[in-house]
Amino acid sequence: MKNNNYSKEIEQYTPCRMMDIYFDNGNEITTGSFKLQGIGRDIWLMLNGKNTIRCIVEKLCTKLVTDEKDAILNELLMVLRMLNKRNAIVINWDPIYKMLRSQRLHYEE
Amino acid sequence: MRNNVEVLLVSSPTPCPAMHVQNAHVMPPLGLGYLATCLEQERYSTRIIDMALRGKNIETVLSVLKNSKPKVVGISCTTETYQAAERMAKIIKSAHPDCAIVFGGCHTSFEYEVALKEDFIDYVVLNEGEISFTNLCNFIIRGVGTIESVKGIVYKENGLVICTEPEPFIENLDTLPIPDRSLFEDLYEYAHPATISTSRGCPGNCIFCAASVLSGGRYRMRSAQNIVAEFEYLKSLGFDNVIIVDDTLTISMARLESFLDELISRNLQMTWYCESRVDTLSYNLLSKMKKAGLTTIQFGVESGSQAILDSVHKGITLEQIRKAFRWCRELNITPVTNLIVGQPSDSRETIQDTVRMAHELISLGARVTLSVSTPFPGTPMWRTPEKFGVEIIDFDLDNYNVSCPVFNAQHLTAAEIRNEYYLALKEVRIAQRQHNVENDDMGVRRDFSSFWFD
Repeated sequence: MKNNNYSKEIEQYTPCRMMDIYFDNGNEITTGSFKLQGIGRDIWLMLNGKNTIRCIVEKLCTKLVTDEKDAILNELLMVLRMLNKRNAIVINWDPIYKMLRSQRLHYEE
Repeated sequence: MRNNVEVLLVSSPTPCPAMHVQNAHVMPPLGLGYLATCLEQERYSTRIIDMALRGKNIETVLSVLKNSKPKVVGISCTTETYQAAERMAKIIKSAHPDCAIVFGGCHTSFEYEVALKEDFIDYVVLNEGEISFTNLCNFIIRGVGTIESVKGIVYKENGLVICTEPEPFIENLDTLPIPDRSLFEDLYEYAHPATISTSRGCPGNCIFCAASVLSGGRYRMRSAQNIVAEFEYLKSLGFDNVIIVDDTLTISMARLESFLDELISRNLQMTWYCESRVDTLSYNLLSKMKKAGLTTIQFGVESGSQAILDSVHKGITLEQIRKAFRWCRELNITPVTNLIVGQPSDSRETIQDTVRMAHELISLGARVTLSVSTPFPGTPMWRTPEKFGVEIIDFDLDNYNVSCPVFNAQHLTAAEIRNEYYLALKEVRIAQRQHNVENDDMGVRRDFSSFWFD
């Protein structure tokens, strides 16, 4: 993936839900403070601390039948920022590295 | 902080980010405290790293390995923390191939064959490790005896997994040293640093619990004098509140009465928390426990449906539950309980019974938590799930965290259990707010700041 606004490093980030407690009716995810439908639901279900951002983008492109990876990446990062600000996810999680892992999403030289 | 470390003991971290956001694991890993104290008595230099603590990570471990070159690294893990433990072991072995990696804890006591399939895990210590692990260190570090003579371990030789003779369970727990709390470097970071174990095992047969099997099917106790000596030790460290971490304190009435008499007579002015079954108590006994300093008691209620209680072999009745909580209210003791959703024969109706029970107990001042039924290795549910009408569909051990459903039950799928759990939690939280009852988060601090996007 090539994106002029973000560091290549973020493709290997593994975002993760803070907790695995939510309601899923097959179309919509409900948590204590927000709901996610459609692609938002699909993204949420992939945030398990093991799927990389690269992997999630590829799966979304397959689902949406598109090769616009940069555009999908931008959308995904917007969703991740929103969820992170609500304390619903960690941007880049690994339990044995914890805060050694970068959480930065914006471009770095 | 120690510079010369011969044996490094590591407690593996949970994969759940929320637990790390709490800024501290709730309690120190007392099992590692026992191991370290036994080793120190044999003149080994040890260090404990609890990876559940927010500031500890793999670099902390690697730094000790680089500076001290310990000969043995013992990694303790549960089912949920096993995969993280494996990854740590692989990294450690790659950086320090001469270091012996030993796994221990409740998960690998049952799943040792899976663990030893990995090249980077050298030994597994089964069940309680005070004697086995010390003897294993004697063999590895000091060349004492042969590997075959070390009881209670499993190792590989020429591709074969070999179990040595079982190490007998320690019958007289008073012979164990009181864990030296100075070996926990960050003791004061824990929300509840003062913990005591007064017994091992549980005589119950609940299908979701391995406590009995882990202890050889027997219940062993420390004497009252021995327990209170540890209370005095913790008092000398500045602690006034103690968490007794036993699965159940109230099995032996004689020992309990003796313990309470000893506590009352020593007048240490300490408060404490314990766990108990609801069918082993009386009002008078609870009253005496209160007099001795009991402030909070956790009961294993599990379900609000008698049919479900019977199906999990809990051996208690709903009336016993209600009595115990009413007594606590009268005596101004805070009761705490956990209820389990998604038991093998749970239905929407029985889960509603459980939620109704939660409401009832909250109205009596109880702090209620909910968890999801999970088949841990060593439990009847894991060994013979088909017997309970359970189909395990998720074998990713990171999800064995009692909030993620991993099986289809008799009447509900895993997805349905997830939704029922969410709804039940929501109801319970509303009820607790209405009754001004705190969540049972045991006073932990929550600091999300490190995980905010910047």
